[in-house]
Amino acid sequence: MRLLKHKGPDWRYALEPKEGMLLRTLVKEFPLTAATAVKITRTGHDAKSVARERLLNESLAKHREELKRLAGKLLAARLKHEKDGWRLVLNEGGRAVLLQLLNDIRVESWHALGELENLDALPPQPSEMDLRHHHLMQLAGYFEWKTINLEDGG
Amino acid sequence: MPHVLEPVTIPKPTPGKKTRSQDDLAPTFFVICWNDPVNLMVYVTHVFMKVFGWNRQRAEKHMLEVHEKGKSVLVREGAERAEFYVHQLQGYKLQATMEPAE
Repeated sequence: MRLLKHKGPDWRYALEPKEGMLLRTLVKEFPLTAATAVKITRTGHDAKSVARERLLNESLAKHREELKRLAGKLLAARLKHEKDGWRLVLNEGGRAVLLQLLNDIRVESWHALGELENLDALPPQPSEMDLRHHHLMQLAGYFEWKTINLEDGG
Repeated sequence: MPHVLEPVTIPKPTPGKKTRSQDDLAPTFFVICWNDPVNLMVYVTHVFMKVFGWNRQRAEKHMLEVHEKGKSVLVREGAERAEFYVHQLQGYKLQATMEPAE
């Protein structure tokens, strides 16, 4: 995956044939799991904190639904197959959606694997599902890194 | 008869009224980002730049603080604004919380 051009609102990327297929497959996986509930504070346990936390989790659930809706459209409209590979053209909003859903897949895979400190490690006696989550986590990280690093001129 | 002056009563000072506005009295919160091994460093920097509009230097400083010290205080805000930032950061799947500043 490499940045061909950044002009105006659009970023144009070139992807190798395998990369294009992997990205399509990966995006279709979203959402990988039900979202893990999050805390809004690590110190407060009062009624206000409880209400804020409920609101946060409701808001995040809606946000994921919206990402799911956009994910289906994103690559269908933005990723095109060409004779030497794939072309991905993203505007600011499209890039934000892509990065968020990739990172959602990565983080939820990590949760599913038991939140291991060493991301290269697998749980002892990994199941097929563990292997799948590990693969998806690494793959999502690859595309995130490429997208951001290329976007930021790295 | 000597002229006697009326005693002059000096009014007792009244306890000073609070002059701080409601906003000053409202509790404030630290928005904190906590370290985890899964979010990429470039991603965390990217999110800080997007959410707070920071330049790269400032975003990287906070990212490195998260990475090296386990957490970074990103901003201090009133409840509503702090909550807004936590929603934004959690939307990007960063581990962010709001903690009372006082």
